[in-house]
Amino acid sequence: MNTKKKRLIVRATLVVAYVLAIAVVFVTGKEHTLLIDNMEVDEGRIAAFEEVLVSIDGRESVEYYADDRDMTVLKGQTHRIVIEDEISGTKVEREFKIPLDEDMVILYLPKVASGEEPYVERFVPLELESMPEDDGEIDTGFLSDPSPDAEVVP
Amino acid sequence: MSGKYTVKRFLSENAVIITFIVITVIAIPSSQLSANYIIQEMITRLGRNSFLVLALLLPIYAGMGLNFGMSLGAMAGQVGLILAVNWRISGIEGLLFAALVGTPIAVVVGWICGSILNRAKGREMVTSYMLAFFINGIYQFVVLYVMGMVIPIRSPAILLSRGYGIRNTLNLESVRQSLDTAWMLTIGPFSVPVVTFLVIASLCLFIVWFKRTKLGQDMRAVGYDMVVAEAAGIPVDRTRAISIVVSTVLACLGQIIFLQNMGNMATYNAHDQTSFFAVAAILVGGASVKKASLPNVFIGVVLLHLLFVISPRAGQNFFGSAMIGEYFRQFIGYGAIALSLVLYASKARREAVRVREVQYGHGGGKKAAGEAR
Amino acid sequence: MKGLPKSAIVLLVVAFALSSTNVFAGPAYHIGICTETVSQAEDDLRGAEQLIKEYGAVSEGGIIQHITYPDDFMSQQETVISNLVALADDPLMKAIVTCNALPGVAEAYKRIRAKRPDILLLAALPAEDPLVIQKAADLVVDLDFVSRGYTIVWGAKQLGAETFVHISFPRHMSYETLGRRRAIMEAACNDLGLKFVFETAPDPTSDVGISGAQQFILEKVPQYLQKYGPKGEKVALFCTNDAQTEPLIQQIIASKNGIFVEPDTASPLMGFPGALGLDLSAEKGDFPAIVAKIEKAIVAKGASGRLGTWSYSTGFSLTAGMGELAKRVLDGKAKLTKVQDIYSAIGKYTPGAQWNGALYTDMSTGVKAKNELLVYMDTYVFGKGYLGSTKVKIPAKYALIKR
Repeated sequence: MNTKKKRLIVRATLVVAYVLAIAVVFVTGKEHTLLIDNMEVDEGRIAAFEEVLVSIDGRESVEYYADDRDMTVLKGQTHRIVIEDEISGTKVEREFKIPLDEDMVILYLPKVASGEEPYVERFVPLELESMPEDDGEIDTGFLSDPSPDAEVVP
Repeated sequence: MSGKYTVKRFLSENAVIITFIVITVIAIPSSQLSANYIIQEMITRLGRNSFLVLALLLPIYAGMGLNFGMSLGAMAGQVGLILAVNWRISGIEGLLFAALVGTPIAVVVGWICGSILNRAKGREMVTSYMLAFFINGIYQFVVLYVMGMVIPIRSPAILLSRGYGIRNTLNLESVRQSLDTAWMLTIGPFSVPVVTFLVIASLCLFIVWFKRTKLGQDMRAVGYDMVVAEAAGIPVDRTRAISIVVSTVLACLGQIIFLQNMGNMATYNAHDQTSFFAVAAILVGGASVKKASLPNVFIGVVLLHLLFVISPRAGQNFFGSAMIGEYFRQFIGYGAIALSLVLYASKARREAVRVREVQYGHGGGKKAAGEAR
Repeated sequence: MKGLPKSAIVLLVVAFALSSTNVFAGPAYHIGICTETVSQAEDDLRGAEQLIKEYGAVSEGGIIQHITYPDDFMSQQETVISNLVALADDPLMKAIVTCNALPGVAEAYKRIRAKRPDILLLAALPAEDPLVIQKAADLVVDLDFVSRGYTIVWGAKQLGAETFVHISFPRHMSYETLGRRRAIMEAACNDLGLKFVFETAPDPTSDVGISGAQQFILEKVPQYLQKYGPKGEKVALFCTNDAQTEPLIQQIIASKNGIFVEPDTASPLMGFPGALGLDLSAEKGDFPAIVAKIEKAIVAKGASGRLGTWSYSTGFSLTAGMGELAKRVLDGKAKLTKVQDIYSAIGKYTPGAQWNGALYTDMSTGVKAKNELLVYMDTYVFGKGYLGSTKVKIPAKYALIKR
């Protein structure tokens, strides 16, 4: 009886450890798409950077100008961002978190610099429903020139 | 034994390897491929395929022949990869996730396969081959209908736009070559995926160790003679089933390693030829249905894939037609399997005759019979 | 066993040494062409042979290096990829064309680009997802499945059909383009007043094999025609698989009420010669003569005005055309992604035929791809002439139909 109980405990522990291992790789390996946005916030309340160098998780810096939006892929949830304003020379370093279940988030550079939360938000892709329904035709390019340089094929 | 006899025996025992080497040596110059390309391709293919071929060893030890049912494990691995891509788990973690998800599935289907094979003793190979077709049907059903309908699929990139079912080809960009490039050693013009080879090496060590364990010894005993093993108190059916389960799990991991190197996956067909090429490789490497070793695996992978790399071009240059080059490769690949199976069968018959002669002709005992095996 | 590996290694090393000595003077560049074999897609292979006829094979000092895919390409991805990558082993290789670009081509192109970024990569008739192949290749050309989903149904209506039967199987329906075209056809049927029916046939790459799948079509088509046109109403049939096209055409010619607008991979050679038992060896490569001969045979069998196809082979003209385009680009005479240059290169092999097409637009983002062109040709109905399907106005909503 006792050995049976012991075996049960060992087995249960193994199952728990297995599930835990799945959870760990799930969390650490999870990829998120990050949109990096350098546009003015709330119609000019916070201005966009003229020129800014951004480095995420110690990767090589990328330069952005006003109204730029870029896309990158990040692994894991906690990340470090370094923003360097090339005009004023100020440097801001911050840590941000991406919720585990978000596939695509957007990060507003001006908000990061001013420290206003939340600077990372869920990104809702534009819906295509607004496209024209039943008017007009498919843009079929243009008709080809029949036999452009008609060489006779043997 | 006389010297002449040894040469003859050596030739007959290694007929497949010798045939392969002869064909390869003739074909390499006419393929006009550079040595650098061929060697790099061999390194890549050793890393990609060895693990899968190693999965065949245990069932051979257990006397169950070549486990064509290993494609069951391959399918389990693919399910794991589909889910990893679906949840966007990337890099090594993605592969680990696929392995962790695939393993329980592989254990279950492996156990089913093992139990069925226990009811088909002596016809394991053809049964496992048919079983793979059967499970393939279930796999297609799961991937084409259940995924998206019952199992939620959130990545639109892998889901058919009708809302359920996985796309025909899966782009494994997020886990692509993450094991290979974890530590890529560059030696001269060649790059060697060190971690992949370490994984393969540790599997070799595992197999060597496993053979020495109680279970490993039991397995060999079962493979040697089931009746004797049963009499000695070894649970024959259980041991055989375990060998299939381990083989299936290894095939699952092997397929994940294979596919991470390939970088894309034919969702509905990637497992079709898995068992076939693994079997071809181990046979070309000099193994038989009853006997196989680690060197057989690596010699086989190199020889078979060397021929696969060069034969399309060689055939083309020989016969002056691109198409014939491709058929030449197929002809050689399938021919190798047929040749080694035929040779094995005729050898088994010759051995049986010899054993009979020894037993009845000279009144010899068990020892001679044992050697013949 | 012991002595064997050592001697084997020595032999292999000698063989390697021999392999690298084969150097000869020749042209400035090579173009690699990969097609399927005769049993899968004969026209593509003939297109490559046409290029060899014009520009010579590499083995004879010319510029074309032609290779083929394995027949069971889906389960032999490893071979598909490595055969293509092997083309890049040739230092003179400057362009690679695949037609059909089967699954595995995108991965092969990725590997080639990593090793040899100077090679132009062209893919015609891709089987992989548009976004995947667009990223891997420099130029992608495909049949315009959106427009054809409409024009084929439209053509069926022009020929008097009341029911449209779409024959396919799950593997094909798992292709994004084929699945979407099916949905477009269904919608077009609804709008144009035809009854849409989906019938499942066995997959020729499955265990029944090509002959089993063909047998199925031979037996089933008369039943379909009876079922959907019991009083002799005209029924249009369309199938997505090339191997099943021949028995389908055969049965439609034999019937009284069958309509066949065009084959999926449209070509006068697709199914017609086999179904009619024609020997076209005298007309080899001369498409106008081939069309004339098929037309005569169809009219003689009383099936005039019921069957159509494109007047040139898709596979032939695209394979040869893409090769020609690659050559023109390498010679500096054309720009790879300029639409007129593409039409002009394909047009070399289709004198007199009308092409139309559009750049690919992704459904979920609305992004128009700069390097994928979708094309289609006017339908020629035997005994009737061109239908004018390249001039049909297609409502924009069809481009937005998912499934």
